[in-house]
Amino acid sequence: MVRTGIGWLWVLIMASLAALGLMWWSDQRHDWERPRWEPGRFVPILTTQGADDRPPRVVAVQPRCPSCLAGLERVAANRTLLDSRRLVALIVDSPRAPDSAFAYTLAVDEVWWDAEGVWRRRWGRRVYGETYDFDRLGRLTGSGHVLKLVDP
Amino acid sequence: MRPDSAAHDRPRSPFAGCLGPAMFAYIAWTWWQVSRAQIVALPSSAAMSPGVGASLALIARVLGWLLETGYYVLWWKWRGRALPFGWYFQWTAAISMVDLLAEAIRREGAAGAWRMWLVGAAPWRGMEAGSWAVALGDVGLLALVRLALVIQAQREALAPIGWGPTGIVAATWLAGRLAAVWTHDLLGGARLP
Repeated sequence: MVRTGIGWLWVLIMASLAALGLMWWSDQRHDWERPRWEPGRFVPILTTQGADDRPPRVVAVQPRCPSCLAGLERVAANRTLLDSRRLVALIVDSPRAPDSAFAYTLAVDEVWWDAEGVWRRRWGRRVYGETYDFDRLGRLTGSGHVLKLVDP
Repeated sequence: MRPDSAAHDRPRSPFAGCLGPAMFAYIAWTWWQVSRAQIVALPSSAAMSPGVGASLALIARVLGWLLETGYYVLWWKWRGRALPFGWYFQWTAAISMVDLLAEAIRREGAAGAWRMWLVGAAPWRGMEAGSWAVALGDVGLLALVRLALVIQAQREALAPIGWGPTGIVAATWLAGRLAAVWTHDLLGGARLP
């Protein structure tokens, strides 16, 4: 009786491993969109007054992620007027639009809200604090993480 | 020189007599210190004090040892053999000293060929290392020593036995690495430039 129970436990463990492998295989085969900065797909919360044609560096921010908020704060604090990129916070995985008071506390050039879940469901991104460098045409030129960002 | 049969039936504990509690306390304290140093080194650790984080990490580690012990005990029970839970748990905790040594070598700093042979190349790669590097990057001589000790502990408790412990330990290790690759990829999302 006990051995039968343990046998089922092994079946469960093997099935879990197989399910994980199946998820991985399915994820690898999924045709994710390459990230592209298209402001029309996001909701503006705080945008630049006047023309700022510098290419954007977008940081994926989840309001309840303390480490990525702290990393963004550090990067924002270290910026200079001569920065070659405008710093954009993209609020992701947030069912409600962030209020403007929260947006101001981020101290970035722009704040956008990913209301449609483009970041997760279209781009296939999952790591809060990831950064995406786009050129002026919105094409992805590089990526990283806000906690590893040395060159603002 | 052969021990009497009663002593032979009882497998050896990793630490003899009253040395045991002191050694296990030392192992727990050292793991607590390692976890605390890792938390302090994080770019952002404001959410929790390093001491509390290290205590939680130690609890998680002990739970991991219990889980690993339970896994092997149940495997051998299923195979009709008895692996003593408390005894094997002691060995699991004691064998973690090899991990502590590997951690100390990693933290020592600069890359060197001998260090890579001992603890693998991953510590000197960046966060951007691929999933296979994450899964296999810490494989060095010490990882093999750890596996050999796990196998030897099971062989000692289950003697006489053939290649069974080698098979289950190796298969578990490989499955764990595979699961690590898959989990890393699933959590990290698609690769980007």
